[in-house]
Amino acid sequence: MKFLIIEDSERLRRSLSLGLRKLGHAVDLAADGKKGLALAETYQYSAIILDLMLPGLSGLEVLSRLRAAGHQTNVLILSAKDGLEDRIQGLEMGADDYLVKPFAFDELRARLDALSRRQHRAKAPRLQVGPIEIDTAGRRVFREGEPVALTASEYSLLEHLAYRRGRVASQDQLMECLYPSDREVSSNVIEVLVSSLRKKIHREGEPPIILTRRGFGYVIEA
Amino acid sequence: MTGSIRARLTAYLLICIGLLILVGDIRLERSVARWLRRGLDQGLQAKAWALVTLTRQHDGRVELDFADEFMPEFESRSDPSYFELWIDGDHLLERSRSFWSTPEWEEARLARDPTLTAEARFRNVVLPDGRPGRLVQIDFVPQSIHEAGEVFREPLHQREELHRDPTEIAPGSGLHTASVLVAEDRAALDAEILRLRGSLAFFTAILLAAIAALIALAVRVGLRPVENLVGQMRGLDAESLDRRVALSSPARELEPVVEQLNRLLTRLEAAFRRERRLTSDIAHELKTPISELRSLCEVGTQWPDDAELAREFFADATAISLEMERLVVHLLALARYDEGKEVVQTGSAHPAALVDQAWSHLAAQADSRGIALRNRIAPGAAIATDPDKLALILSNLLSNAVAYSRPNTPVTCTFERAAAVDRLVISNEPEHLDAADLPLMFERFWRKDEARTGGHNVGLGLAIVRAFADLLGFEVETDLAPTGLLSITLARRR
Repeated sequence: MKFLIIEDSERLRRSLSLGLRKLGHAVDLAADGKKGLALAETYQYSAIILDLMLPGLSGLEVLSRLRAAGHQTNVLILSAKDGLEDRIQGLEMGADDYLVKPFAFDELRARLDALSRRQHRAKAPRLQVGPIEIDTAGRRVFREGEPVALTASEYSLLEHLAYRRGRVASQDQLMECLYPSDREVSSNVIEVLVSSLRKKIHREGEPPIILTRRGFGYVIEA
Repeated sequence: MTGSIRARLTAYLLICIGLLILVGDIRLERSVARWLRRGLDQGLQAKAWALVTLTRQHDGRVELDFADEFMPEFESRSDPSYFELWIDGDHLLERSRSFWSTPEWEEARLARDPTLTAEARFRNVVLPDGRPGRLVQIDFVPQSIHEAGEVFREPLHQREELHRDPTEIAPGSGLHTASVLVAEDRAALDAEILRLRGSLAFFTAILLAAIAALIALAVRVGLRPVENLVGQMRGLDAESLDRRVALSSPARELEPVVEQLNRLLTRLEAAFRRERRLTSDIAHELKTPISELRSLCEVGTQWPDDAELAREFFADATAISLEMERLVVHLLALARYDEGKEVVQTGSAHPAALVDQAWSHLAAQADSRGIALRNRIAPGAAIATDPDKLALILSNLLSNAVAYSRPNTPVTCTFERAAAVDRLVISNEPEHLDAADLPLMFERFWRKDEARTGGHNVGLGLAIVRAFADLLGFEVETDLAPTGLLSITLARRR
């Protein structure tokens, strides 16, 4: 998944982005509201982690403008403002979740996962794709009960295709979802990643799980 | 007297009006009594004069031509009047028949003053029958009997010889002097006067009661705005400081009170809000470094094998703990100041050296922003004050200047010693500062950009400057020139 962190504390930005990247997610960073809004309006994210007390444009203003422009991206507010009125205001202005600082990193991760599942209309934390079982909470993959060792990027790709089951994801879409916006990636990185993933989850004689739609992209059949 | 304005006002008004009424009553009673007594005296005098005109002297003898039937009161058996006619001071010539009905009538006498005067004399006496009475004594020279047929041109009582001064008659002159005394009962008069007093007292009491009621009502109505104000103030508490009091009806005397009260409430509300905000600000300021620390530790814990990650995180953790330490140190300093526990140790402080010393800790940050120091304080200049606290003040002022000045602008320090005042001035060109910010700059946790939390500057530096400047006897003055140059002056009278 790909997240946008809009947070003015450099240390918090760094630790959160490191942690999420370690989990295989792509993370874009913004230190102020203006830059955050620009990124949110330009790229697709699984969720935006939004601080409220931002220099320049406030977090609530960023949220308000996003929703006014029709953006449906999940927004998780991360703020030191813990008052009931603050939480209500954030949610009423269009946030999908509100987490008060200080917070547990694992809780943030779990809430982001829940938002992603919601986005893909998948209530259960486990996805079944043929013989492959994906534990989205634990970020683990099993084949007929046996764990399959995937890299963080491979897992993210598999999870993304599984959530979009039946819908083709283009290379560009996959690049946008799996890599930070400010990172230059080679044009065949998705091809390489799909190939690597197929090697780990496909079995000879079994129907392929990830299909290629030439000229369009990749899909996991419904 | 109670502590109640209403009670005092009512009492004072009642006492004053009551006294006025009482004085008026007394004057009235005395006037009426005097008038009544004068009537009695005039009656007595008329009777006495009648007897005077009936007294004549002829050939060395004095006669009283008196007929009882013309003055029956002198022979009445009940409540009679009395008269005596004395000749030459010691000879009782005539007296009224009313004496006959008195006990010991032979010896009974009216109280007579043997000294002759030209004026009628009145006095209270006890009548021969024991009743309280009123007596008039007229000393005169009985008129001389002239030859029959003499015609008198003037009325009898105006005849000159009747008004001759008896004290001018010399013994052996051939003329006699006489004294007529007439006395009658005054009990009826006294009773009348007593009745008058009683009526006055009764109606005065009713009047005072009515006045008291009216005063109480008037005072209550008059003090209604005060009562209303008191009611409003009773409703004020820490949760309702946003309320203001107002007069229910125009009351010029209370307008300054209401105005001042509302001003005080505004200041109190602001102070309460500041205090609440302070607690919330402290918690808020701590939340950010705690969040950062927690996030660092949890992410680091999940990937402990990443040495590079660990090194970065430890460095961040150290920086965070130093910031929190700085915050706590500043808060403690302010708390000690608030409690009056900061001790001033006066010595000789050299501001030029203190500025240089403070700048040395800020040099790296200043260089990165192109901020240069212009220390124009004479190296030998010295101020008698606490050097450590002055150093802290300067450190905070310079730190603020470096953090918030526009890039590539200077920070200037000067020291002026005028006739009686020392002035230490720090000037810089801050970004985004308005004149409206100047009064707020020294508030605890105030920062121009409210979104800034955590970090090196937590919004306490200038609050410490003001607190410690106050401790050292300096006044802090700020000035923002139209050019954008901010000057913070520490001024102190020597």
